[in-house]
Amino acid sequence: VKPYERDRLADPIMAWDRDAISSAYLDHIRESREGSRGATGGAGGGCGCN
Amino acid sequence: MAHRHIFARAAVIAALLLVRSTSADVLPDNRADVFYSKYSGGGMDITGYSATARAKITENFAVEANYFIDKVSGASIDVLSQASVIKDERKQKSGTIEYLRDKTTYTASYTSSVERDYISDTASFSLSQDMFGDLTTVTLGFADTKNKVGENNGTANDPNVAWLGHALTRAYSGGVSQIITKNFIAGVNLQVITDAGYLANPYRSIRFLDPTNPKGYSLGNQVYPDTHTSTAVQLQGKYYLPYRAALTALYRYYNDTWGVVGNTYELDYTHPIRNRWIFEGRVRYYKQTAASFYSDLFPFAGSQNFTARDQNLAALDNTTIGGKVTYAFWPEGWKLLKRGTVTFDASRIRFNYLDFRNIKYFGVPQYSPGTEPLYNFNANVFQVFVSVYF
Repeated sequence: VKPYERDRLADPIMAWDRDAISSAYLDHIRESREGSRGATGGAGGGCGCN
Repeated sequence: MAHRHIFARAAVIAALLLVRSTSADVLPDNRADVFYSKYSGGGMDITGYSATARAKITENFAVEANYFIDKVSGASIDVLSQASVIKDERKQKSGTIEYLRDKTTYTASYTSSVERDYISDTASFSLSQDMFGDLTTVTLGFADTKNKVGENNGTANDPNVAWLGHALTRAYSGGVSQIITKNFIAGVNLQVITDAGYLANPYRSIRFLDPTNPKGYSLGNQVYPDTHTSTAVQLQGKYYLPYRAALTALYRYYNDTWGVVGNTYELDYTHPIRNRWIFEGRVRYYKQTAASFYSDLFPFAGSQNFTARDQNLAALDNTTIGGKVTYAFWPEGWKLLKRGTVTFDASRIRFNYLDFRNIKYFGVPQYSPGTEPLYNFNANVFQVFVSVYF
């Protein structure tokens, strides 16, 4: 794939994570309620979860 | 009576952004966000407020700062069956620096999270390297977390925290993002996390059969192993459709030394309309097995070395349906600003527990211990945030 063929991949809709804060928040909610954790590409910290 | 809140003591994992962008040779644009979130489910209400700003000092050097407050109130299933309601808050601060040199981005961050009865500090470092004509991005990361774990034996307004111990967490990450065709990009993330120290949730209890108790059972302390290691692998692909829209699929496999095996499946569809709107829909399904030392009802006190009745360690599944709308109120910028957007995100999650019973029904004559209905609940998660790019 040549650099001039990457216009579609450069479209913001192709970003893995457009809104890191939002996805970290959703990861945090899941990690607080599920046994699984990690490898999601972004995660929260601490507790404050329930 | 002690406030028995039920904070799930999820180990702290640093914000290792493994496959955050398709390229490591340009730092992301300057951006500021204000964020509001609301979680309601299982008797709990959690409201979050956050502000984040990131700025490039030069083309090669960027800084980011984030402040987050969670306010918790309500009474979960544990609380309803044991004691009173809770009220608490968590404050988290983090700072990140990024440095770009040639094809490599170095990221270092520090996060501090403080609750009345839980203090957590994380330092993390990662690097991302573009290679093979920028078709491949490889990321490696490490995070080190120190947690101080306490229990509030007082009340929400008059706390009396007893510090129980420390837990140390180390996370090792690796990721590859690969351009496959001009329409398709794929990625794989691997993360191994080890914990050592006080790992149990002091606010949750086991129950065991007790003929001397009119309820038929009594409550006791959980006893967890003092080490825990988990491995998670996530595969993901993103495809640009024949019209301007994107489809994302991901799968994650998880297992740990406590016997939990989890599988996650997710599908996202993203559809923009000109430069003004972006619509997104997603479905997610998750299922896990129970930890080997978990039981909803133990036969007697001290029946085994390690005992847990934390609902996170039960066999469970959950299904999420969500949607997100981003509206650009300044699609082409305004004065010195490049773009401004507002985003609404809503999810509904159905949690089903497969071996965690609803002991809210204790004392109801038709239910003897171990025959109560299985627990389940619905949660609604709502987010709204304003983002300005400059």
